[in-house]
Amino acid sequence: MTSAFEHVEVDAEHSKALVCIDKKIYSKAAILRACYWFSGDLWSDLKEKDECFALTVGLLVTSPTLSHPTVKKIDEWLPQIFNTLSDSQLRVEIQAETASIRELIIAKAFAESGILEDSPPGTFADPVESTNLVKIATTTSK
Amino acid sequence: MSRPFAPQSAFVGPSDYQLLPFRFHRLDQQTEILVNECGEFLFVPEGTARKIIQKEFRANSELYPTLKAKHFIYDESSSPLLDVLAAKYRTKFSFIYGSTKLHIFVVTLRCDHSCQYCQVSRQTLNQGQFDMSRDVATSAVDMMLQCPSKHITLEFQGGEPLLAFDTIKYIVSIAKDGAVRLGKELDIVITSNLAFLTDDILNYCKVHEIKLSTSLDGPEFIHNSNRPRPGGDSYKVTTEGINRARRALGNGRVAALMTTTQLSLQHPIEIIDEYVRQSFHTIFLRPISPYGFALRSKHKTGYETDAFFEFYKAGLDHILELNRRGYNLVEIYTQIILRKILTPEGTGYVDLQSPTGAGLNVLAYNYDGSVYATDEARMLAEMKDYTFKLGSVLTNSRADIFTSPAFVALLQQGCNQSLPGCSDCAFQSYCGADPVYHHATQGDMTGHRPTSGFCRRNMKVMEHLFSLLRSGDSFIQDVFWGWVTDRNLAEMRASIPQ
Repeated sequence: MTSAFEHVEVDAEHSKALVCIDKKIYSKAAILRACYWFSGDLWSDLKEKDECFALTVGLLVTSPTLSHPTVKKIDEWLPQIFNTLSDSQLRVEIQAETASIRELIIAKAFAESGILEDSPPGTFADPVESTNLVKIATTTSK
Repeated sequence: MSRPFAPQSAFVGPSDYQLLPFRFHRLDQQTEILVNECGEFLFVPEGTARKIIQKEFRANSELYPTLKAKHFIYDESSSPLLDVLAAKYRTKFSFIYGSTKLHIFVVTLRCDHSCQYCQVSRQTLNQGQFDMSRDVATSAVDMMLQCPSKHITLEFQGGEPLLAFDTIKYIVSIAKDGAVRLGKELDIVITSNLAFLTDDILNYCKVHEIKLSTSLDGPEFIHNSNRPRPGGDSYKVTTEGINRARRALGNGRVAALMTTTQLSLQHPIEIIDEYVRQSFHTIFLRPISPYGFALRSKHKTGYETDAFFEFYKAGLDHILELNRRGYNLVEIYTQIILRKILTPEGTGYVDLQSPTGAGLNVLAYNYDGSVYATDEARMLAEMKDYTFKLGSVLTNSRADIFTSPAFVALLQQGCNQSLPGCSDCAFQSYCGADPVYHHATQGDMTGHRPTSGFCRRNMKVMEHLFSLLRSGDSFIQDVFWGWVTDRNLAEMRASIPQ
């Protein structure tokens, strides 16, 4: 059965959906991170194909129980899944671009602990103080 | 002579920029929050994060200079200012420095109360074998004073610690001597239900500058229901004790904490009004901790996180209204989170620390000499779960404690910077990891954030606080800044330039 979304097939019980995800747009890391946030309600299975990732998602609980008095159809989860997927991809892109600078910030922040073999570039001290941009005049009472 | 301006293109500025590490969160349909690596935040219209990341911003856009100034991007006309960022990052983690500051001494398990949420395996009043011995006390004080921290808080807990007051006196005596010898500052707190408070005890507390902390769960019908004791008069005993202690020690040396139960959830206003009636100016709307007997009696106290959030939200609204009417009342959980959001500093609140505050910022010494990473870890041990037992003051050194497999496991799974779900969460720098909670509730120190009560609760509370900050209500802003800077509303407003 097709869905309102392109590249999505939903089963007759509306408990499972197969989503084809464009590999040029989304990374495996982004898909897995998005799936993690739904893992309390949905199971997921990811397979890599030539052109796309084939993601199957299904309801963990398919009929109402005392702890889950209402059960949403898988179709109702899809918009939230797609939004989360987009956010995850953006987060992966931030991390890809900033990983090295983040490591450098943390290394510099804790350089005092001596965990680094080589000192990171720059100064450990407050850069404003170290460049003498600000000097606090002290007076000694006699 | 005319001097022509440079062409317009010269003023456009650089068009390429680089990203600095940041995280984002959708607050509502219109607003996103951007948070940089040091916890500085920015409200922006929905879709802004995507535009920044996909390099759609131009130097002449209104937001561009702010994004640079707040360390979300940099370009050829600026530098990443790594030293500044590193200094800010280090400040945010200043709680790591100085080692363990809070040392909890469980001097006895005996107690006269039988609270449904009681977090220890309480013992009856005549069970003297559950008191801390002099040998254990001496070794525990020795271990406490070996911590490099210059400022140490020694907190007595139980059971009911006043039932072992001779042990308290012994510990205070040797701890004070040691602190003077080693040049450390020592704060002492007794956490007590006040049922055994005598004039002699009050006089001793006054002489030794000891603070008292007690439990007040709300008005009489809630307090007595939550905290049964023979005679059913816990409320009367506690409130009389508070008044006597205030007269002897001063208001500032007597504090109260409340614990939330199913019954409490229905009565946030009544609980807060009781604190006002008792002239308190702080209240901590605490969720029940999932430890000790509380875990066993889940059918009584196992309310959903969402129900707690509604309780918290209604409570905070009422507290803000009380402040609006002129009564200064601070909600402590909100204050802690706001300090993390609005100031460069971290806080010493163990539950919201990463790396975890368990062990690093608190140690609990049980009556038998066992050392636990937190008081909650000790409560688990009372249920025969010794996962977080770090050693014993009788047989282990401080080095043994901090290299124990239990402590190493705590650290490995106690950094939200590397935990699934937390690593790219916008609220990471305001939140914690709490491996003890996740072990207790999910059987796994790492925890599963999509089903974690800790994650859900903190996410909802932080979203709510950001919504209030975003609301533009200048009164709320003033109250919040007052809480963050320990000033009342009048002082806060007087400090704002006209």
